[in-house]
Amino acid sequence: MNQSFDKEHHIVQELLGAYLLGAAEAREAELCATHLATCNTCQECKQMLEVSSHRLAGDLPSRRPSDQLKQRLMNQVRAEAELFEAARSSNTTNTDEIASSSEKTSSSLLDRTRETLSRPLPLMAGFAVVMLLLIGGSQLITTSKPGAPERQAIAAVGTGDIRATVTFQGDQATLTASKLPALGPGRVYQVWLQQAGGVLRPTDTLFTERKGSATVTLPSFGSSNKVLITSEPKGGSTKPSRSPILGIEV
Amino acid sequence: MEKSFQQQAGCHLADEELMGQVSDLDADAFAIIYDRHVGAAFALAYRILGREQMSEDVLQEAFMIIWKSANRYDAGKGSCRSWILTIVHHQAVDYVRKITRSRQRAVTNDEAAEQVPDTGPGPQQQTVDGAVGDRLLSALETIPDQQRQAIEMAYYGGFTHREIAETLAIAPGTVKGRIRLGLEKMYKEIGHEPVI
Repeated sequence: MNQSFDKEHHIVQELLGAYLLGAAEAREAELCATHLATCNTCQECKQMLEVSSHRLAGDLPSRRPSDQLKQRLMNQVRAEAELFEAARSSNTTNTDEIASSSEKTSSSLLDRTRETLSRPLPLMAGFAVVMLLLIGGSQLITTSKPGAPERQAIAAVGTGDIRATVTFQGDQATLTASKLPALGPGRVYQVWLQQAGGVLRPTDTLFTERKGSATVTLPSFGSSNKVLITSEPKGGSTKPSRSPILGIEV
Repeated sequence: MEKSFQQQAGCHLADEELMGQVSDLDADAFAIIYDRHVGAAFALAYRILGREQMSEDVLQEAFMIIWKSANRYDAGKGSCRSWILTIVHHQAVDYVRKITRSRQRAVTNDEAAEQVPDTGPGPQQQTVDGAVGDRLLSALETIPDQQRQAIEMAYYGGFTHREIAETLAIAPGTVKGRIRLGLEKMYKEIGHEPVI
């Protein structure tokens, strides 16, 4: 072992207990995590000390929270599960149905979603219907200057106050978004393409926001009919880990 | 709360199988996982935060993380309960540190200080006050008081080792040593049988 590895090893051995209890500073925790990936001795120590640290959590007498907590949690969980289930099933959308559905004033968004999904829907993901209801409408705008290639843009509204436009010019499509929520540490926004049948395909297009705004060149759509944006861990995901914050039919 | 048919059918499954279903966004499997582990999770959050509503808020956050990142649970690296409690612990300690920072900011601002209600000692102070006297935990009872205090302040109080050193007016190296030795002694005393 070289000198710098020895020094690091000694530091991590000292810090290991604090690291396991969450009492190391951020830089120290990073050092420990990196070192543990390459040092078997420290890994073995960690496994031993973890038996004790896990005991700290498990030794406490059990305590029940209120039933309302479970209710709140399961409401959120079931809503998300239904959303993703709709994305997986092959449904169709009918523009008139979407328009009339989105004008309805039923008491809850989820009830409206369930109501629409229970009717036979024309081809185009039921997920698209859900997304338009939950996320808001999208609108096609066409502009052109004499002699210039036609420029088309689709404006969309996302969750919260998110506003976005996808602009097509020639082969290129650009997404411009504003009022995006701030990403937490270690997270990025990822672009997904939805194909006929509701299959979601991850893309390598990852981006961050700056003061809530972002402009990103979208990948080629191929046979996809919808663009979705989710927040994912750095490096992206192969499956969406969170509900989309924005969905645009293209 | 009455269990659905799917929940009743899933009750015999091991945590690892249920977590596989949760990662496929099965809400019923998630409900079973919640019922099995919420008692331990809430006890831990409450031990750290000392307040029921705060603990429920943290628990809600933690379980949503569990729901959304179930595909990251690796049965080869440890039990489902230890994974869940690690997430709960992390959320609870984050919450404690946020409260402590905002109280410190309020105290330095004269106008805000007049408006901040006195709600008594915060979670961290409760851990400092109670650390030496609290003898509820069987594993911690096996180690010397100084080591137990350092471990309780770190694990239940959300203090970093430097903060523990400042609070107790001892060297940071001493704190790290006490934590390490305490955990090692616990390991020897509890006979290598983890509770979770």
